[in-house]
Amino acid sequence: MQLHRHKDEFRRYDTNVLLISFSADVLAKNWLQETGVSFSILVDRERIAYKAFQLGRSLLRSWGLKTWLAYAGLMLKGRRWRGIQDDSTQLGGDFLIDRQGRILFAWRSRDPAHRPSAEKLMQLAKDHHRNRE
Amino acid sequence: MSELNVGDHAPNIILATLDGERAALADYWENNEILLVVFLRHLG
Repeated sequence: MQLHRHKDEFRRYDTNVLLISFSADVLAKNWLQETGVSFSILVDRERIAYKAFQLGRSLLRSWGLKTWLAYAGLMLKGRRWRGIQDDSTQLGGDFLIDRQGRILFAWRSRDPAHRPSAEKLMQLAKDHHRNRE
Repeated sequence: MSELNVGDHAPNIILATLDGERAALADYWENNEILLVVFLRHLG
């Protein structure tokens, strides 16, 4: 996970990262173990948060050419294909939220490969941190 | 429902940790200058 490589930088800007997954606990635990990611993770099996943050689902956008190419790229880097587990149509998103609960940045993925870069998120956190100094 | 956007207040949803404890999103954002919430896709 690219964000995890930047975790020390995020801490420098007083930014904590929280992952939310709708997958079963056992899949989430296995994933954390396999990836070595140390961010906190919360489970949302009923996708209450996914719905509240208005994250979409799409079979077409989830399994388009871009997705196949992205997965091929990951496998070429050594990631293991585990088959399709859970709902592969659920799209993700990224939100930056300040201490008062106000949304600073909102990104709803249009397809699986559509995510903001770690660098972009870092820059936003840095800018917010600087504006508060 | 209107779209939730920058400047809006984030919904404070109560979810579960992997240990089965209840946790509210607000518990996380209140304790940091910024909270980056990453909604994952399926973990397969």
